[in-house]
Amino acid sequence: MNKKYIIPVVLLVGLAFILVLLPKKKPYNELPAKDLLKQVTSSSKFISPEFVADRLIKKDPSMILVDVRSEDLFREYSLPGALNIPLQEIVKPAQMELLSQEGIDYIFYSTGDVLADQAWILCKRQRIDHIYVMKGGLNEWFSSFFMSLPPAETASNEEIELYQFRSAVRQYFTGGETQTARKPAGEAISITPKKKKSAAEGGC
Amino acid sequence: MKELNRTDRLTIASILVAVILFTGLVTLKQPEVQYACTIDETVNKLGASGDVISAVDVNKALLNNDGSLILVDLRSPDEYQKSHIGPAINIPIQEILEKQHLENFSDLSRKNKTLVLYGKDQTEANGAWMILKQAGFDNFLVMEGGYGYFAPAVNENNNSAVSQGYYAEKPAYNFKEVLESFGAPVSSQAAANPEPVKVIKKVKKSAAEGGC
Repeated sequence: MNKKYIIPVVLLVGLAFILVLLPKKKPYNELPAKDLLKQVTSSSKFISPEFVADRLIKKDPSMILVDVRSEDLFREYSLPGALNIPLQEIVKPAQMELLSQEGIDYIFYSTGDVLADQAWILCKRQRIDHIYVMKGGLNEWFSSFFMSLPPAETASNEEIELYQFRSAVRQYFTGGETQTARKPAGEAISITPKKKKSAAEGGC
Repeated sequence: MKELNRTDRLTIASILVAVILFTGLVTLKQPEVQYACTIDETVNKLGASGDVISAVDVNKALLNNDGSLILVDLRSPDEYQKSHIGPAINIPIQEILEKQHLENFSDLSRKNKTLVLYGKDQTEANGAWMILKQAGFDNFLVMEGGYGYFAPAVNENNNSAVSQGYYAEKPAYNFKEVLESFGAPVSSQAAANPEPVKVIKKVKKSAAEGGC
């Protein structure tokens, strides 16, 4: 064998050994803990029940509700059109694939918002975008739409508008005649569109 | 002479390759805080209850003054200045992964101290708890209900509603009954499965197209 090849061969074999000894890479490209913390502390993850109701009534096809409670609780009562993905199931590959569909906002809810928030954090770690938590969960849904009292005569216009909106939502979901359910102004939630990954374009 | 040149060039090239690969490996960016458990392990840890401590129990530990619990206030310094639970230390939630705090946490963990997190509500504390759990800290608890809930819970110790404890995921109403009271045909609605949601197949990103 030619001597001049000995040095490169030794070097490459050495490198191959180093590569073998390197720690195994994690299967998913997860969001680093510090970035996850930033996401967790941002308030944009919450969506109010009013906003959810507004989109439900408009039959917005780009929103899907995800009930993260157990199957039993889901059967007993759930919001119209909601999917049931219990917290324990949520990071399974099939659900991850579903939740990473582009162009659809998934809104997690549970009875309060702790369980939904846990599911949300797990998904965020797996870099799922376009997911939100319904603030206050079903408890707040019911307290705002079914338990809210009429505002006093002296209430501000916003309060009266909010009450009218809530009553309209209640009527919509209890099968009463629908009034025009208009979401109170000043609550726009901006949803930043995901940047399209441009495929490598070819050409000459 | 010519033969020697070829050998040199080969050697230089392979050394260069080795150096580039090596520097690449060494400078490979690693996140500052690593996850200590995989996502599946995290899910399993969530299933185990007992990570929430009641306000009444926190208060008892504080009264005993045995130093078994360390309270951490996750709210902003402003809110902390205004009022906080007696001996709580303030670590705003955004800062819990700072190096100095992490060192402190592992120190306390070695001393078998338990830290109790509370924020403006339980969800805030829960978020911090989940991050720390995934970073490998098992010595944290979440205080039920958050800061606003602590004072009434402790002051009305004998109040039966409070002593039953607070559970963030406890239904405040019987949802079905409320709906029925407003005349909604709940029974049929609940029995029928909610509309199946159409799953739109993800469009495969087309591979590089084009060319001549």
